[in-house]
Amino acid sequence: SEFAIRQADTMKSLRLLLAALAVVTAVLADHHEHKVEHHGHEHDHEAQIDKLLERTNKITHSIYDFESQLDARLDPARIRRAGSLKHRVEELEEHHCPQHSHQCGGDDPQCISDLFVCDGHTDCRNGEDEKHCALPTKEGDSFVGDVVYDNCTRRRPEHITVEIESVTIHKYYTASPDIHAHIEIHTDTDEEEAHASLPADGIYTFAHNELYLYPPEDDGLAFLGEFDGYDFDHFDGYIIHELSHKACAHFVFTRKK
Amino acid sequence: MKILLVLLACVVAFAFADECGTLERLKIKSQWRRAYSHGHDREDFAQAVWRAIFAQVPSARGLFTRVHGEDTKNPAFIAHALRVLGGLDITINLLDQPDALSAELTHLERQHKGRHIPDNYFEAFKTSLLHVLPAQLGRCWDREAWGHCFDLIAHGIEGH
Repeated sequence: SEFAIRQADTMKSLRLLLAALAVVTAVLADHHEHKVEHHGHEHDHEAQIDKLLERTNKITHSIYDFESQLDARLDPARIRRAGSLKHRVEELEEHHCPQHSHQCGGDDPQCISDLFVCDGHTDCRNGEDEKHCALPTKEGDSFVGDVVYDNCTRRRPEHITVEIESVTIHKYYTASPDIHAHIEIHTDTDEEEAHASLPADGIYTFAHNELYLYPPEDDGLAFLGEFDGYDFDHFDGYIIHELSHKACAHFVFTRKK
Repeated sequence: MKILLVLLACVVAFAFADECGTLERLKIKSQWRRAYSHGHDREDFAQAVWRAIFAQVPSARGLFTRVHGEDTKNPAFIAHALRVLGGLDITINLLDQPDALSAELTHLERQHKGRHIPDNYFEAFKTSLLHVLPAQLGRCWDREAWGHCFDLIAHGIEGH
């Protein structure tokens, strides 16, 4: 973020320079007109002023060009994609922190309890545990999942929709907000067409960017959504057996715009 | 074997919605063993519970000045927080032995008497526990059973 602040400063000075150039151009143009009106014969001056104007335009162009290069480097979408890739590599690596703990990241690795991530108290030396605390599943959000495999659901749907009905963030314990959602399942077979809307309660855990919904039916099948921590428009959704934690169905979810 | 026990504890509890009935007590015992954990995890669990208590009733810190309640990371307070969970651990483990439980609750009631602890501080403890528990346990836990059995213990300590 230090880099970002410096970047912002650079941007500011660039914008000031642009503004200054605009003023110079305007004054020169104005001057130019007056000259033409009163002394139509002063060709020398006109040529000089035209040259100046042209040069200002060129500088303006280079500044814009440089600015767009900076923007391309700082493009949030690009940073997100890089983060998602990093996450996939980290998933393949051995975990550096013990179970139920969170890696603070950065150049100074540190493990803290899952219970402390986004609880309003800074526990990481680098403060990382309180930096990424925007809830990706807001009230009214809707995610559509396409089946990857499914060995256990009753209805074997092609798609599942998860609709977030309400979100409760408890002021005294912000690390795991309560979520109330509806799991919408639409099935269409040769024999019948059916629609189910299952209300489910659950929690979101910032430590793992996980949405967990307790089993909405009495079959003991719970829902687990795993965000990668960077791309909050997609997540892997698993149907898991509540007791064994074994996944028996997998859907890939995309945020409905 | 472990999975089997958890499985049993989960299934068993669906059956009764009693006021901390026999089956609920067994379930709480098993879920508490997982939540209470050990070593560093236990310290962190205690820390999270106390932070949430003080966030609800900041004035409660006043009762803990002797053990540095102003800073929950102070070693003196960490020791105290672990001591409190230790007391809770005893009561939860005795949930299926009513005589011993009642003796322990009488003991705790005597320790708390005279400290003028308002009932809402016990409520804050309950609310805090009921929110940190799911984060600590992750999946299988029964909020209702915890509510019932915590009330039983808290009322025993409050003396009413």
